[in-house]
Amino acid sequence: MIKYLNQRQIKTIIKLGDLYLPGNQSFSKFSERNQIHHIDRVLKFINKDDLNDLGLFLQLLSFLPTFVLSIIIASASKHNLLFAPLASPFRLLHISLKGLACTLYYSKMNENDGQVLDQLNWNPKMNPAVKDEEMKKLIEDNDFNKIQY
Amino acid sequence: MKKHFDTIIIGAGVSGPIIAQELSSQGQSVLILEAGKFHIAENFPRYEIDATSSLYWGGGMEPNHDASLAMIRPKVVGGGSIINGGLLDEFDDLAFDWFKQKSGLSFFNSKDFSPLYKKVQDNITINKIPSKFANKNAHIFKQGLKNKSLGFSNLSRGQTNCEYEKGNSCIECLSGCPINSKQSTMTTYLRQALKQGVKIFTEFNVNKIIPGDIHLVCGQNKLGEKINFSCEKLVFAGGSIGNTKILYRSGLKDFLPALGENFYSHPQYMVLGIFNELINSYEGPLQTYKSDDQFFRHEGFKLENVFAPPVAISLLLPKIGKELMDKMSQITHMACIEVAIRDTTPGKISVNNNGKIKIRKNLNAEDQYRKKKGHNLIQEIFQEAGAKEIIQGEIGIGLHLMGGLGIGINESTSVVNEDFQIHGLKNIFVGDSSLFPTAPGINPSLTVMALAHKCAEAVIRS
Repeated sequence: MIKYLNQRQIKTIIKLGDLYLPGNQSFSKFSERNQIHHIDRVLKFINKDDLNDLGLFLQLLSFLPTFVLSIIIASASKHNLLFAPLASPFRLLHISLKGLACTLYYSKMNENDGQVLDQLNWNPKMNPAVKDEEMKKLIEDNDFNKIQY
Repeated sequence: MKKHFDTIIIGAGVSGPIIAQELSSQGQSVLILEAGKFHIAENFPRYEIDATSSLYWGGGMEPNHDASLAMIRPKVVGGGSIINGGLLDEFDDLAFDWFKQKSGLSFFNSKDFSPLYKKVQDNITINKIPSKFANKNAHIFKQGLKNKSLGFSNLSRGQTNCEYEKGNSCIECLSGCPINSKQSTMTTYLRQALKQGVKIFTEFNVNKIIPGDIHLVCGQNKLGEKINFSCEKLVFAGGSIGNTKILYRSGLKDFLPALGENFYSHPQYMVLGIFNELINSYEGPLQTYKSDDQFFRHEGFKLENVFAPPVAISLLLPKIGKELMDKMSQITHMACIEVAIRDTTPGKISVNNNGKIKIRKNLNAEDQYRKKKGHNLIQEIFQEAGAKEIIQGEIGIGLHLMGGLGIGINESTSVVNEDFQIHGLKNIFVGDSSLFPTAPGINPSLTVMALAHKCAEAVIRS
């Protein structure tokens, strides 16, 4: 259950995701990666005003046919060629929408999700995390956020 | 819950824990107010989706006025020292001269800063990154500099033992070091400060301050409950943007004409080279060498050898659709060098009527020229190394956020005086990178830490 967007807005994100990441001979398209349910992990940290703006914009885009959406995202991706007053909003649009799609596609989501990173052969190693019991205790004793007050 | 303290520090980033540790060692009661969350080694976010959105303000980045620069502002206990590369460089004479010239303050010199740097080194472990663990990305960079007869040296990093021989990849530590090797201020100074009895309130947002004989700090906890604290002395350590925002909201812009002015960010532009051979830039130390040549100091830019995790790389690639996916499938064949500019155009931070931050930051002709020169040099390095394709990243990054509350003797062009107190506001201090009067063109972390020690001395003295 996604908290921050309605069904219509989610469908639009999926449509846009498939335009940004349509798949190639080795990788599946955005919708087939099927990670849209993780979108709240991103949206819950976005400034409230920006989240409202995003919701409204997605709502508006949801009424447009796919070929119009593809023209919009293609134009937005050419932001550096646009005149200054147009370039800024298109650049922001491009960063935001591409950012959402790529985050949901190229990030690992949990321990069992190795699909895309394994395919990319992206395999950084790290020792298991250390247990810092001393710091845990210091936080319990000194962080007002953790202390019942 | 105790509500009155000798000193309240706003921000537990690179400098706040240092000041807290120093003051509490003198017997002061200290409270740190921090907007970010307290993560420790075992609970740093391990996936890029969570790291990007939860460890930074704005859910990952905050764009400047025309979205040409993405400001990366950490929101976590330990601040920049949690998410940065851990690189620690001392200022050279050139940087001190610029600071002295801009601020009119004579203590900006290597002799005065030498004991301050020593203090930092007494508290954290700094090691040179050994060449034997350098990855292919680093080798390409080093060879490129060699071919151009440009100097390079091994980077100094705040780290104890990253156990590279076990195959550890420090790119993982960009969302917090899970093995406590990276010497963040959270694992070092703050640990000591908490042992000394310093209190901290995390996930607490400061809305405004009310200066007086006793200062009031008004804010709210994560549940939205409003809570006020009071103190004799108040220290701002919330960074250029955070400090400016709070002072604006406190109605002090008219009183402090230079507030939010002279903002610098060392804009960084990454360039990717795609090679036929496997590069695996994620292996081992994230960075091993730095460009270390007077040529770069005089030209006003430097080259850094970096890389980023997959989502960040996908956002840098100026592509969409199948083309983007084809490029991304070659991520393990990519090397990356970035040009970081010593920006000459000061930016401006302001807050609109809705309380939202506005960052005005341009690159003037000189800055553009520096960027272009850096790009050309990277292009040549990659070409000589045999790259089959070279791609410039499509957005710039502002990671070193400096200024906005510049230090200086002139009240109309600076915000903070030589005693680290805000002009005209007694016992309100500033102790972080927002003090910087100009851009040094050198990684600022170590000097921010040194300045935090100096600020603590001023607080104690007062």
